[in-house]
Amino acid sequence: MSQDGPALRTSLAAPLRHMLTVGAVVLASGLALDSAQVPIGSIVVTVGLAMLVALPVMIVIDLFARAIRAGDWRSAIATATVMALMLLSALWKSG
Amino acid sequence: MLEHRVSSVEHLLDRAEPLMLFALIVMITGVAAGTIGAMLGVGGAVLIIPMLNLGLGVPMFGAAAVGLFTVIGTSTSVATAPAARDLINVRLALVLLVASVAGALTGVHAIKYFISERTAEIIFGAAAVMVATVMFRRLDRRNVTRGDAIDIGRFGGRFYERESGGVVSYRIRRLPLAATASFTAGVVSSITGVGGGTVIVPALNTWCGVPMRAAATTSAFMIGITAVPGVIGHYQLGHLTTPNLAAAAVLGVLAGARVGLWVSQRTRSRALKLLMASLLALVGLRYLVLGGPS
Repeated sequence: MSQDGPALRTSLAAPLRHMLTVGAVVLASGLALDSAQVPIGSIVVTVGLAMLVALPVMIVIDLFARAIRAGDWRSAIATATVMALMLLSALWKSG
Repeated sequence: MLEHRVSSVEHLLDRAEPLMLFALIVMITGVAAGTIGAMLGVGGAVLIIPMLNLGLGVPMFGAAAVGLFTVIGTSTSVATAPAARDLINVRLALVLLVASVAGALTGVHAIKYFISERTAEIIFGAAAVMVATVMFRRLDRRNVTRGDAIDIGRFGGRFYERESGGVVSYRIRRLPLAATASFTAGVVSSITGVGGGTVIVPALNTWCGVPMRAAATTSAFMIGITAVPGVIGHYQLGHLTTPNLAAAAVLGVLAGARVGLWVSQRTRSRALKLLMASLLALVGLRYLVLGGPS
């Protein structure tokens, strides 16, 4: 119904929903391992948090790919700019 | 008393077993924040940050980092929900995301160079008062949308509205104003840890002609992506000292959001909304006048 058309929908929705669920399971497992004082518990928690942060990045990458395929260059430029800003924030400390 | 509480928390953080107890408290806090947030249509972060900072003595920037993780969790949850797909105006969101992510990056730089914890507390206080004001104003307001089939332009949208039983259309006005609001939201989000919907939703709805439901869902979609530079920045600045707390808060908020949605479909939330708006206004004023616990 949205005027965006199918090209710009977040069609990764189902995989992302699964990944969010998996991330939540990883976080819960990490917390449980940490409470049992298993050394890898904190690593598992960190992996879970990294998975969580990766989700929005995956959404943007997916939208970029769809905008390119649909020939919607303005949206492609917008998503590319967002990705560049995210990359800048990741590289910022070393700069 | 507050100093004692902060030192108690620091003492807890030094020990593995009490840390798990602390994580459990944060998880329960997250469930409460997620439930109330979903019932009232606000993000859980605006509730969990004062609970962590004022209630448990977590430093403001540490609470902000945890808040941003919960924002990503709830935003992704909303963005991937089947019901939200038609409401999210992706084309508009993409344009506004350039502004909001740039704002978030600016906010992170501001934290590094000149924003103190006290300044962050003042900004958070102002944001909390703003949320409370918006909640007070919307106590009895129904989200009215334009039912006519209009030329929606490049950034407008159409969606099916259950209340009216038909497709409604809207056209975007004052896009530069929406971009400015999004930039501001990005700055506020990375500094304070709240989602930024506080700024984006009223701007889209009041000034730009976006119906409330579409504005809220589009904003919810945007804030998770906007939170990424903030999370990375807080991590690089060493504010995320206890990842377990972030994990516990995310799990709590995700579970709480589901409970809140279930409850909100079965109850009228006017009294709760009034109570929470009053509480948020008090918390906001507390931050503005007295600051945090440290």
